[in-house]
Amino acid sequence: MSGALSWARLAYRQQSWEVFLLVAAAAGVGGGMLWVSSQIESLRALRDACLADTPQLCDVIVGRAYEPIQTAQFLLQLSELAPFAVGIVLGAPLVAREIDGRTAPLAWALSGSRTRWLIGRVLFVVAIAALCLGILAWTSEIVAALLDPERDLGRDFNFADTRGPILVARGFGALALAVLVGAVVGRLLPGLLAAILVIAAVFIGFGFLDGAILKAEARVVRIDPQTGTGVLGDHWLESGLQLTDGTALTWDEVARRGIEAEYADDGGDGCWYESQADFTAGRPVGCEVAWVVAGDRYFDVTVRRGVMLGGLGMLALAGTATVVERRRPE
Amino acid sequence: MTATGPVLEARGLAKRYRRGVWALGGIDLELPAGGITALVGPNAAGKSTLIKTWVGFEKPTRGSAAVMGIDPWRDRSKALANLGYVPQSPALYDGLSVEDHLDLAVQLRPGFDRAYARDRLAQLDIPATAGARSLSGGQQAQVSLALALGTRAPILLLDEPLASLDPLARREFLHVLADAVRVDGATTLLSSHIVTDVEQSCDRLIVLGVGHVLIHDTVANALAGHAISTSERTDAVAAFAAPDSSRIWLVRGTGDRPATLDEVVLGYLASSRSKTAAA
Repeated sequence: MSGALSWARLAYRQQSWEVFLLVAAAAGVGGGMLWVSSQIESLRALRDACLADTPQLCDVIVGRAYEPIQTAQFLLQLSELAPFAVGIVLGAPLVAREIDGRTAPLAWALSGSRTRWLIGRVLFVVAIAALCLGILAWTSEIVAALLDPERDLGRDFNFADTRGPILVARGFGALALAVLVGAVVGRLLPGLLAAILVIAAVFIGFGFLDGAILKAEARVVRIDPQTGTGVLGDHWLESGLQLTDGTALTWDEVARRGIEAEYADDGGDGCWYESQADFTAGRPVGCEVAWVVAGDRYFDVTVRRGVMLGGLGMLALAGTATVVERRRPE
Repeated sequence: MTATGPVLEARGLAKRYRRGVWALGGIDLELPAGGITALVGPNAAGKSTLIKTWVGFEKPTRGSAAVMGIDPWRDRSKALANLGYVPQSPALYDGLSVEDHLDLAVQLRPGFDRAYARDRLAQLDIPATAGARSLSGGQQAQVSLALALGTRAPILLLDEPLASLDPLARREFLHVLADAVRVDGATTLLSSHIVTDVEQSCDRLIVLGVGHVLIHDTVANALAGHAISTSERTDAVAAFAAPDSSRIWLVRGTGDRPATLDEVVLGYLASSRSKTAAA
């Protein structure tokens, strides 16, 4: 048996239930997405044919499409959570179980390099996580594309957190963090619970960091007063008021400056006026705007997020190697 | 280190755990090459801590430890290359077979002698295909020993491998160990709190009591240098209760009858306890 197979067998035997559960869940959700996609496609074909033929009788067909669309949206929400579940379930027990189960002294005394041992242990688990999340990345792209067929999702932030390769990158980050927490805690159940808390905290922090970077490169656009939205596909960060001197203020800043809503009169054009006279004279205090990142930057932003998450994962694994090198095996 | 120098050393080695308990109180020890040395002492005497320090699992609080002249904490991989280790409770991977363990050892340890380890297990009728979970405690200990022997390391450290075994399994384990050491010539340190188990197999004896070395000598010297007195002697090492509840004294030199190894150990442990109580 080759070296890789030895490690794979150990990893599988150590975590067979977790591996089985996650592969089955990924196959189930992925398969569900493909099935629901086929449902949406066939209903859409039926609807198009019906609308072309007898439009007054198509309500039933249109109504029937709601259920698979709702299912598709639910499955996309599941795929957003999947990287965290995969990371925690596969990652936290990896080192913790070896310490808890007292197999670490055996392995660490045999191996001159604990880091090499860690690499051998992690590789198969990362491969399983990549497989599970790769399935979801692929199927979620298909189903998201069908939900809004007129949009080019390669240049569109629609469903950005729930589809595509970012799921794999997020899963790698979560898994590496969970391995680190498990190695520090050294106990299976407490390690799992701690991993949940740490991953939640780190990813909330990551969200703030990502938001700050996006805000720095966002452009300010007028909000369409009719729809209350910006351009479809753009990533909407937040909204506020742009003063006539060009200063854009978030709603918090608007409140801090005392530009209060009760003194402002929305003239229906998305702008604020202090009085009827100002409205008539076309002298607004400011107009409602949004900070957005254009949809055509979706690919760049996704690659950057992937690199950041990959870096976070590598950092966590380096931290795990340090912990494993220094800690007691029991 | 010369060829005749110590293979295991401790210089003023002290270890304090986080909860403030001193497991080792400044040990000086040199173990020469060859033979089997019994490391004997009661629970919490520091036997495991001493062995784990040599394996590089514990960082000394003070002093130093060395394996063939190498500091195991600073240069763990070089130190481990000279060591085969059997942990306190044989903890094998539940889901793996014996053969899988040998495969894993080949991956982890460059130069691991799988054929040698497999032969050792075959001699004991432990099937390579058997799952670790299905093995008895004695068989699991034998697999752990085979993994340590398969390293072909010049030093074997065995941390109370007999503790959870029944008498027959203990005897079988010691027989395999003695045979392997005779063939390979590895220096072996075997810790135990049961003296009678190791008496027949060991050449040297180290008695550890509450973090200090009480006696370190060859078994022959320890026996020849001590005797039992049935009457009180002022030069006695210590007094302790005989199996018939009478009081006996371990003395250096001559006495009423020769001392057994068990009695030598008991005498020094009793001495250590009375000194600790007096302190």
